[in-house]
Amino acid sequence: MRGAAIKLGFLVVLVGAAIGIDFALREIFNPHWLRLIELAGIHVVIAVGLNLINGYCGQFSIGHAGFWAIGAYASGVLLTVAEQKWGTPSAVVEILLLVGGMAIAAILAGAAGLLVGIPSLRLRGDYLAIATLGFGEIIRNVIVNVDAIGGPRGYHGIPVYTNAAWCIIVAALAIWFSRNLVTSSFGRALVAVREDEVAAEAVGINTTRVKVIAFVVSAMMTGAAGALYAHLDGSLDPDTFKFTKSIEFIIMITVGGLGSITGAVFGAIVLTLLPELLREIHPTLSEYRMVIYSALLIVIVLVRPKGLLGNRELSPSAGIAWLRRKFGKGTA
Amino acid sequence: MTKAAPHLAVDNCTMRFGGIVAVKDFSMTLETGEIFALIGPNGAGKTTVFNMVTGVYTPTSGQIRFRGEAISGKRPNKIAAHGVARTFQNIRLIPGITVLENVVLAYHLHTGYGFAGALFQSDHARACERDVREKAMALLALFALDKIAAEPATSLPYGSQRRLEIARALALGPTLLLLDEPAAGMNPQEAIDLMRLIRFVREKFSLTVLLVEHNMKVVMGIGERIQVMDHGETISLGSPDEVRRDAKVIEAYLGKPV
Repeated sequence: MRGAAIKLGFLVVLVGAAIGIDFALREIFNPHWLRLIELAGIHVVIAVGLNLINGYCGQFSIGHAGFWAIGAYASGVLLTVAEQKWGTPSAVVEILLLVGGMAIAAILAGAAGLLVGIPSLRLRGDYLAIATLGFGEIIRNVIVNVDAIGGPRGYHGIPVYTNAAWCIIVAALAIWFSRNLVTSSFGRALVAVREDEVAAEAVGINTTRVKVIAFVVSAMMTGAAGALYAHLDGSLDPDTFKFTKSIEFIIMITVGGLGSITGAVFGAIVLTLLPELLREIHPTLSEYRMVIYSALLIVIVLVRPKGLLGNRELSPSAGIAWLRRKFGKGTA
Repeated sequence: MTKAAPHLAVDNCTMRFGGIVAVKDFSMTLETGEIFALIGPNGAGKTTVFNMVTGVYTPTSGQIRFRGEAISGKRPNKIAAHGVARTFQNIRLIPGITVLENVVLAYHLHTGYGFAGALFQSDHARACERDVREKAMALLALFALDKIAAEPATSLPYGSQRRLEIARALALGPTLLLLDEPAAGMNPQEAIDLMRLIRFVREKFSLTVLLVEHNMKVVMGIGERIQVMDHGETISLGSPDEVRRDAKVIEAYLGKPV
């Protein structure tokens, strides 16, 4: 009970801080950069989720843009219809609507994850990569061909509910949930499955179950991020959810270091802001961003094959331990 | 035969891989509490038997019963949960995590908290996690591994890795322990220590032990009954002395007298 009270306290502080930061960001940055920061938050949620399955569990998903699309269109369409029916909601109702939209987005994306995951994760090997590659494209093609949700024209007129505060809160929760999972017995099972499935089974781990759960949780996080994205700009374009987007997510976690939450967060932020920073330097540089990404990736793979952070984490306790190692000898 | 069901009964099991018959009409019975050794020349099918008992392979035909319950065809994790723990011929510790975590991992089934508890780090989950770590440390202490609990598991010397693998198997709380060539790569002194260790854990955890081993000193030293295989079939069964004198065994290992 004491723990629950502390957690509630933290949540209140988090919400307060997020709203404070939101106000500050609005003062400092123009809308363009504010949107990028919000987008970075959304990407953090996706990267942290993707890292669970690709990084910790070692099963490669290359179709997370599909889960993102499911979440975005689900919440986008639903809340647009809701607003058409009941008019502009009050502030409190808006919060409830967005939370509800994220929940539905997460559930639908999770259900899709279950459908893709169960057949492909029962086997050992790269079947998940193949299945998710197809899945992502199927989702996009379905969207393009369903006229009721705009088809290739995209879906517009979605109420704009997402702000920086929401992005910060959801990203923080995603990081927290992810950390809790990987430090639990479930997280140990994930690593065991990644490293040696035969040994994992020999100590009683149901490897299929562990893989499917990790994949579904990952899909759910990505779906929730999709809802945030739908209500960020107020319009959705099916071209956003192309296969290259899935690859971009993979680059984010690979640059940061597979199997490191800090790495995923870092990678997501850097890869969101990098193209725009390049544009600031010179407009044509941004057009070459895919070239620069590739070069960057090659350099990282050559110099630091395990990503910038490897599987290390940056956290307050790790920082203190590092300082102790660095300076502890003098005082001890 | 005792009246109670044998601890492990392999009944007329055959394992075919395509046209190759690795194990043919094989039967084996382990009584509760004994140290039973399965030996034979390379390629005799010992590891195949091991893999059938632990669920890695499903026998093509035949039945395996553990304490009276049919286990053949079940998945390895199910069989492990029944109380059948194993070690591997080529040690399979989880790299990248510590000695302690390798053992804590095996408490997986008995941590006492669920997915929601893990997700929200409930007080209950934290208490369970502390509890499991204490249990794992106590187990490591028995194997003189507690001092190096925080080291990466795969950085340990070979002998310690073997001990750690046995410790991890015991964390499952098994009644049957399967050891696949535990003395492989050990020097004579290490092999003697290993024999002492196997006897010790058998008493301490009231285990039945199935041992596959090439080191004859170890087999003859601790095996209470020995079954000899060649070409997927049983050629001899008995006490160490009986097996040692069996002409068929000598022939399998050394060839026919000229």
